[in-house]
Amino acid sequence: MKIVSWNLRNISLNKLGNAFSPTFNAYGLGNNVLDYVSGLVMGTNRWNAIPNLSTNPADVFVMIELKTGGSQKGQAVSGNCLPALNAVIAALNTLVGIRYPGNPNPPYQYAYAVPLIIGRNETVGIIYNTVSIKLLSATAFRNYNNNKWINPRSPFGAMFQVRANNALFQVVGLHAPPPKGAANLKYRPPIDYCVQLPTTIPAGMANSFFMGDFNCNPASTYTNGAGTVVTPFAGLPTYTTQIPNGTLSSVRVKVASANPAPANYLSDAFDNIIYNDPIPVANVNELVVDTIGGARNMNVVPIVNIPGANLTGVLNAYNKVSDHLPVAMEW
Amino acid sequence: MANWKFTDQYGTAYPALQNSILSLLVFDITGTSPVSGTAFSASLDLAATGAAMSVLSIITGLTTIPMTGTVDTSNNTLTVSLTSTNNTVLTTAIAACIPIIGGSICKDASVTINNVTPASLTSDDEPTTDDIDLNITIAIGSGKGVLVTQIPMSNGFFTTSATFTGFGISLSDLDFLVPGQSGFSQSFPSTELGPYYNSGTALSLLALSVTFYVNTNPSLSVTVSGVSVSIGITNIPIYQQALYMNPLAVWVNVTNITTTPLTTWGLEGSIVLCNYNTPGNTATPDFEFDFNLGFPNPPTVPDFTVSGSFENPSDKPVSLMIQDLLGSSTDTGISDTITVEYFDFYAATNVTTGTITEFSTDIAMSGQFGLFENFTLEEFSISVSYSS
Repeated sequence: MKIVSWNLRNISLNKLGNAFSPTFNAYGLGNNVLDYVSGLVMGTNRWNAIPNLSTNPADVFVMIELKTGGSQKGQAVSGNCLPALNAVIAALNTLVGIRYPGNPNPPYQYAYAVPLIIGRNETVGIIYNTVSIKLLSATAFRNYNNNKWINPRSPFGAMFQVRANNALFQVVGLHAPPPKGAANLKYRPPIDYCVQLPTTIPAGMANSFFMGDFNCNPASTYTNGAGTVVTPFAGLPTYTTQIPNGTLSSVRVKVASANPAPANYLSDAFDNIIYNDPIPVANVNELVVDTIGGARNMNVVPIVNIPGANLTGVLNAYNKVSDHLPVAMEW
Repeated sequence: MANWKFTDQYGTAYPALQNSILSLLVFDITGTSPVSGTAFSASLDLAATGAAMSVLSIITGLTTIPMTGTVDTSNNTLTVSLTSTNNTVLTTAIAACIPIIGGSICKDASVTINNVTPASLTSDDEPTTDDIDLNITIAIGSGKGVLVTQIPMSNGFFTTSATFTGFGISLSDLDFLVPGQSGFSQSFPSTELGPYYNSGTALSLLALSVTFYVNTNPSLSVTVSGVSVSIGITNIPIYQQALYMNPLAVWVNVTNITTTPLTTWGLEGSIVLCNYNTPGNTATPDFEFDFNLGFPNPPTVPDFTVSGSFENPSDKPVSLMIQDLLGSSTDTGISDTITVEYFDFYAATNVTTGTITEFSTDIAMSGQFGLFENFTLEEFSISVSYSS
């Protein structure tokens, strides 16, 4: 099973068609945003040199910051949201046909869970492989203690059944509020958001995966007025991640030359997948997929690494895709 | 014949040029330069350029593309504007291999190169303009449109698109986008739009994009991944020459074009408020309010919904909004420091009962006023919600 979670910063139908600078296009990593994103989700050879990232297509692809009209949490999406999802699954299914030519029953076929509004003009897109898993339900989650929506953006998730063994698991996408304020309280907004995650129904279920933009680290803290140190996931003691704490994932808009790589193009450790599925650690590959540091010129022989030669160009191109790197997990 | 690149002649004076496509493109020249005065003439050598131009070479069946244009170095800025001159050959090639918009639909094809590189930019910068595009002119109804795409430089998806102004159409004009029995007309949500659309409604084509997948291994194939069309009505006057609905648009996205077309669609639009000095100028309004509509599909989706959002990225004040609406001399006493940060609303109506089931609005403002005159008020918001 392979999951890819990616904050794609206001991803919309229009944004999918945006091309990169021609010098970046010349590297062969993608002709436009759709090409770039689908190439990574489908495990193409563009990224086969990134350690611990397989060339298997994803079974679940979670899109954070999928744009929609409306702000009423739990209501139907509108505007270009469904056309955007339609365009993405069409691309993924096209790539399935390319990968398995002439196969009338390829091992991948993609569909999406119908999204709901989770916040102001925002939803979560959950795309899944109908061949390996079956969608049972999808919804936006409230705090079940007080039945209120979680602000500013309620988590949205889906329950799946693995066709091979009927096992159930839950995938929940979320987008916490950004850090803000004085240094000692900077992480209070996202931490207080994460503290509410145990109040969502999937949190107490077995085999749940929470993923997306947490806007904080598992080890981020702030001290509250009572002098208590507050951490994001104290209420989820059975949850874990294989991404080392502090692994940078949010992307700078400009190269910070004074910093050593990857801090010269990455700024914070915000993106993660945490889970309570008791998968043996040795069977798990989970990583922040550094497609900036791992960018290569695929149009030369032999293929060469790029960033040292043109980090600015690669970073500028990546900013057309997002301000966050994707996270992948496979077991 | 010799190989020549723009960086050979201009790379020293314009350091950022090394980060442009002109640092890769190889031209065949006689003599020492293809530039005479400001006139340029040389053939783009696709083979000599290498892998970046291999897809274009395979699509067109060409190894060189003759180009002419201008190269200007005035104002310490390199400005390059080139156009292909063998468009008949390009058109034949594109028409033969690109589906949906090829064949007799394709009227012209060209390659253009545009670059603007100020001398002040360093080798760490990218040019301000750096485009190499494939332009495809297609017939749409009784008119034509030019779809533009950056040259694809690897196997993968690329999107060719265009926006239109004042381009009246009928739905059948777009049937070529969904070949076969269904046609585009069948994909348009005519029934779902109910009283908002009938066969007499005047429609404008606002935008069109076609996403292709190109594969050159083992041989060339170009397949359609999807088509997106925005059809709407523009410049609908709401209040004098101040407030317009521009546009009211239906977005239709169709995938699986050649097999079992799958259609999704969305309704959106904008209400624009023109500056009081330029009444009726909807192209550059002072304020823009975006809205989205959702139509019911009983019993699973029983509600008609409308939601709107307004953002004010230029922090224009509420007083200007009032002047644009009511005239430049209108003075309500609201300070120029009060700005609306955002204004959202949402409403849902059950189409069976006709009653409003949900309503909410959020308004956030900023600026010093009244009791907060001496405070730096970052944001002041009001939220109202109703649910039956």
